[in-house]
Amino acid sequence: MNTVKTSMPKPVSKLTPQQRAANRRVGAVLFLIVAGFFLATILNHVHSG
Amino acid sequence: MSTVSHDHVIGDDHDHAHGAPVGWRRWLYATNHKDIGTLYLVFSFTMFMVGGVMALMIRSELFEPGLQIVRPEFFNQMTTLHGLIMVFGAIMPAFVGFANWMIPLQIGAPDMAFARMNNLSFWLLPPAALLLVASLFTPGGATAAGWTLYAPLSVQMGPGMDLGIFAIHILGASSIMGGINIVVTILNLRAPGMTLMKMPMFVWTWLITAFLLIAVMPVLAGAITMLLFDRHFGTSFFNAAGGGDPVLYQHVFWFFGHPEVYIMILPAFGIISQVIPTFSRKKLFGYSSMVYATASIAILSFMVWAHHMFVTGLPVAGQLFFMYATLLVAVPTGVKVFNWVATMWRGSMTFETPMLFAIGFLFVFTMGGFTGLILSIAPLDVAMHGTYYVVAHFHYVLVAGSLFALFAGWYYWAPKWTGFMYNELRGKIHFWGSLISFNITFFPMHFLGLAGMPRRYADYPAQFTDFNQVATLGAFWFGLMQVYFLFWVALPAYRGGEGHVAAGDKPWDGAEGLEWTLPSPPPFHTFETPPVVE
Repeated sequence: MNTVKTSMPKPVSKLTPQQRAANRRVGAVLFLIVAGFFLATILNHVHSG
Repeated sequence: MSTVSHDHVIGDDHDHAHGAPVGWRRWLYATNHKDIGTLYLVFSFTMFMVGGVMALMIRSELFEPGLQIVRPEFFNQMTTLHGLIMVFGAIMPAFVGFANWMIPLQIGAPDMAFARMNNLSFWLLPPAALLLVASLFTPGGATAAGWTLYAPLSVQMGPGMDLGIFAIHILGASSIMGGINIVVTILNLRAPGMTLMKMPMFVWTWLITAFLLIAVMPVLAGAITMLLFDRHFGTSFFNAAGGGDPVLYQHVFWFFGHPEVYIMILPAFGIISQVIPTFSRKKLFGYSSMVYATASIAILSFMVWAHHMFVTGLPVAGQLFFMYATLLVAVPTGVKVFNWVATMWRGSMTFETPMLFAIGFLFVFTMGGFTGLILSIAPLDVAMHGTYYVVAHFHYVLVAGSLFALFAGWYYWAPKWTGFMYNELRGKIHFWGSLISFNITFFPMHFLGLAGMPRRYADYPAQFTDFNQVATLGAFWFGLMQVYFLFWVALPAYRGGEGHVAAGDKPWDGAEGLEWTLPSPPPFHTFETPPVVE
């Protein structure tokens, strides 16, 4: 049986699952802010006619 | 039948000694903050060289009046690409490289918070750079609308403009991911005991810079998305014939553009705030005021954008608001300059190359700051807008400011990275050569601008010849000094060997911070067990 290994090494980190979850929470909030600013920039200037 | 399984040997080897991976996979699959920092620095220096060659083509054409070397259209492509490459390809990635290398080391974190996203942030850059350069070979050539890509010119240009827009979108996505990574790393992964007000100034300035990135890069993305829609999808955001407004583009662009200027200078302030105390052998004077000044500059950066637009017909009340708001920026900036000078006051100063670049930064950046104040005065700006005075101003803050601080940071931290001291004499030659040639290049531009020479033209009247020739000679000298830095200072220091002494854990006796508790060079993985900060 052939085994295909994933070649990208897993990041070495001592972070606990709680720390990872906290990182993801803050990261997600910041991504939402980015998406909001992007949409606000365009939608603020959309007019019909 | 094939099955896919994860390699648990690689995944679970946290408790073994970790050497660096070898070969190209180390770099392509890099998740280690030090490797990614190195990738950023190599990429940014490469782009610095590419943008530098474009600058020398500009200066060569301007050596004499008339057209000698390039066509005017190509000249405009060079000015545009030089600006875009230096801003997005050289200065910004260089600071992100420093952030990757130093932030985890300075706060006692094992790595960046999102190690794989960090890999993606970097590897988005080379394709974007290739797109920008490849756009030169499209019909009509690369975008020639200036790095600001003002509408309506940018709406009308050929396919090179589309490649430019795509490249900037990719570069922006990279910056946004980098910014988010840095904020989360600093907020969540500080070592126990390292409160916010105990963080090194470089980390503070990057935290604030990362918030600026998160706030304004999506605005730039919005602006160039609207541009793309005007070009291809029948909208009229910036098209007056369809009910749009070209000046709107300038408002949106500079709402990004002015904070962008501070994105390129705040981390420089952070580096200078590390170097000056080390070589003065004193604590930084006014640490908390430095933090508040940095935050104040960042907040003010959102209120000053229209000082780039004094000649667009703003109402007088608007001109006054943006003029006074811009003048206000001088207050926190003055606090910083005062604190750096006060740190040096009665210190036991020595003048190794990092300190020389830091003091050079202080003098020359301050001159750029003063010309910024002059340009912020609306009635003066009406006369000087779009002239070489502006070119002189922003090169004083971006070359003598950002670039000199980057060199100060390299000379300061390279012994930690490489494990070897650089050659001090060669470092000093690099500094003095760069400082003198920089001033020969850009100081005459003040006079050219005051005399009315406009920027972004391949030709000029004969009375401007002398100062242009001086500037061109200075530019070639400056370029040679950077080649000297690469081949005679940086590469030998990375190779080590003859003439390079081992750096030791803490090569600077006045240095403070967690990074100096590690060996030089630091092991591949550091602070897997967080240090405790007293």
